[in-house]
Amino acid sequence: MQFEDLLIKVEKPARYTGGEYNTPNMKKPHKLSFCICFPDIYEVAMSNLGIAILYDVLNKNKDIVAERCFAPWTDMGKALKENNIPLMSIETKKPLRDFDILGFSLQYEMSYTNILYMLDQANIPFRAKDRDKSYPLIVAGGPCSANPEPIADFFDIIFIGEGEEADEKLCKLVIKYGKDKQKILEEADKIDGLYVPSLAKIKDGINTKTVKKAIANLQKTSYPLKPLIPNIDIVHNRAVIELFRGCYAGCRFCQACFFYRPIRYREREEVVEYARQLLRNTGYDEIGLSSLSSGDYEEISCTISEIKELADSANVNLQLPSLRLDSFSKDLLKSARKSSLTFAPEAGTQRLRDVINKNITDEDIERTMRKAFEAGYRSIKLYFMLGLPTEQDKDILGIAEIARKINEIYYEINQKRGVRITVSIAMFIPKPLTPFQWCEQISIQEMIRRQTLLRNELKKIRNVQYKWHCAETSMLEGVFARGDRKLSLLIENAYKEGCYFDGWSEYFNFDKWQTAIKKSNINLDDYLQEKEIEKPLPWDFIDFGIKRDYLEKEYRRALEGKTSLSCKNYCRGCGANRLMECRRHKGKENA
Amino acid sequence: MLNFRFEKTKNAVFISHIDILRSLNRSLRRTGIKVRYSQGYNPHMLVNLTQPLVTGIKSLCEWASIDTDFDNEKEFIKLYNKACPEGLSALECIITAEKPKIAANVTASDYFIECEEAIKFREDLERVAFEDFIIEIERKGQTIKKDVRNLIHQVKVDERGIFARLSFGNLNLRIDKFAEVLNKRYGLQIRHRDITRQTQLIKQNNKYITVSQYLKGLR
Ligand code: SF4
Ligand code: SF4
Repeated sequence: MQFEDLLIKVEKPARYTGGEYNTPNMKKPHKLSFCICFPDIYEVAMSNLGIAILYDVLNKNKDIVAERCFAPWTDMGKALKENNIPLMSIETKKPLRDFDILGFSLQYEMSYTNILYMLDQANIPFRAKDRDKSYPLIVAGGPCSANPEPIADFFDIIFIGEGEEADEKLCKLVIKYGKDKQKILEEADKIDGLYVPSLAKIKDGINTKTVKKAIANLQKTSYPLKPLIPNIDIVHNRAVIELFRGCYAGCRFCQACFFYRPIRYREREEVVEYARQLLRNTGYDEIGLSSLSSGDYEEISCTISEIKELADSANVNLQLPSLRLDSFSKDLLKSARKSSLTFAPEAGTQRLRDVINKNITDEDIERTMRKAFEAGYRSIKLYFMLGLPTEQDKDILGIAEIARKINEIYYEINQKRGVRITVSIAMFIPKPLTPFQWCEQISIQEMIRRQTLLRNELKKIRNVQYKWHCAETSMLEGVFARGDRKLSLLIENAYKEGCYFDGWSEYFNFDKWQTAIKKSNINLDDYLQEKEIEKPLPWDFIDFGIKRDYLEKEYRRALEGKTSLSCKNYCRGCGANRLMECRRHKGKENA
Repeated sequence: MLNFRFEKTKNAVFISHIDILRSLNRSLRRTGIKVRYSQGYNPHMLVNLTQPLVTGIKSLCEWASIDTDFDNEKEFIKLYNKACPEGLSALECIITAEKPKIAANVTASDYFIECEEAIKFREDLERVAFEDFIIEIERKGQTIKKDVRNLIHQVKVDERGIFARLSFGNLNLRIDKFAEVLNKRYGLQIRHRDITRQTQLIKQNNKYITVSQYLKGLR
């Protein structure tokens, strides 16, 4: 059977056909072909702003044509294999093997086996050392580049930090040196943000050759104002505007916060102009703001009102950032379409929120909820984590206490109709490049004990629904987050056992993972236990701008229960401004 | 009421009915043409589509009606075709004084099946409507057999392929089911992508007229 004939046999064929509105000209004469690969399905990939930015930047370059390829869902994967059809790009149906560069997006650790799944479908050897120069250059980038070691052996080059500019630099090298892979690698090794695993200097299993992270200058890089408009429903089906990059808050568990420092800002005029253009170019019926904590945008209220006016006149819904409800006027809130309000206190007691530096107080929660209920919201989503450093049972029970309190507030305001409170519980995973990078991750048994404790308490409260992250997946995610090069063997063995789409609970199979762990002769406890501060970490070779002693200091403050002010009010001198000017640093360093 | 006929070709044949509706909404919004919205809590654009077509099958005759004061038929096609994704272009536009009932009135549809082999079985094929024509339908995990010869109105064959007029609407014979039987019976290899829906038909005074003719009568 040919590819076209498979399309009517699989679920959602439009995942594979392309033909989206705003597709750039794929036939333009070019010097380099790039395929952006995302190890998850279309609906997830197309909801990712990073992918949209990269696609836009590359296709605007006169020498490059960039296409896309996403992990085929299992039905299509099987059909392709059975019919001996290699994995192809969406736009021109070109086999991945025939591209100059394949660029994989590293969004979450549990998609690592899917990278191998895609390479396997494309008939490409997994390990960089097994690929001669007839294969495309295979590179990767994304948030997981905070610690690329577990997957380093699979790639020729890994982008550390943000890809917008570094990607184009690499393309230039490939245009210049063609198929001379060795030369390309040597030259790439000299560029900030490009890590060449095969040229690393390994000592005791750890790379010691510094690589500086790449940072994008938001003013200079273009923004996708004519994004592809999917023909099928995706996870986030709306226009998005990035307000700023980085986050002021500094929650100590949050990798994104430190990964995207220093803080870079888009001025209000630009944001509003982007909204105007996006509304015209996309036709979406919803527009949203995207940044780590949009509510912290320095001119949030007036920006929102201006965009709201544009959106209203186009019959488009504007999604309000949840956290700063109090900064919006009553009228604005009243007229907003009320889906559900999300709120992330992360921990159940003030003490533990101080430890993790989540600067939300009980009063904040109560005030916001009151305001939301008065404005007519009837669905609240709350996000928490279990297993945080220093967590005790009291803190866990505190989560239920918050849900109970919200229920009470709701009934004070509205007695007629019910409210829906959804409590989502993730497991804390110590991540590289955070003050908690040295912490212990609790065992699966302990995760389950704490989950049960909380579940029994939540059951007693009406209107509350709860959701959990699977303990086994959380454990593996933790292993890979702080892993080293040895883990590539585990990923390979797991894939061979049949593990893929591990982020999808219906496909996650822990038994197969356990077999792979045994075969790989790896002791997972090595990765989960508390780490000594003095010892080197696998990702220490990366210069993220953030100083190690800053992270250490923050860790100590955490254990003492001391909070640190947001970068909005106080610069603690994290060091990120050494790589690029920080919006909030500006000589205000007090620490 | 502004009514327009659009194609469903190229990659768009794989878009489901609900996604076509969503896509149409976006295309219309991109045209900048003011379309009326429903009142109420979750206002939506006032758009009506004709009945869904099987995924994978091409069409030159999908119809949409929108509630708008825009009154230039030619200009609409120009604006719309700039704003829509490939394979979903508007082919014809007819403005009517009142809201037409297209979906409710359509009772048949013409299809063309590209199939050079068919000529060999011409006589048999042109008679299929007069003999048993059993299709198999899956319902609640069971396979039901059903004789549908009364839903086949006409079959003609030439060197290029098969022309078929089948019931469409409340009484409906799916073209892929029809092709499946032909494939089995005559060893043909008709694939979804060989089939194009050409017109939707309305019965008026015992005669079939096209939707386009029907709408022109309401101008
Ligand atoms: S508010 Fe806290 S958790 Fe959210 S992005 Fe910022 S630092 Fe991370
Ligand atoms: S340089 Fe100062 S203000 Fe900027 S991110 Fe670091 S701590 Fe915050």
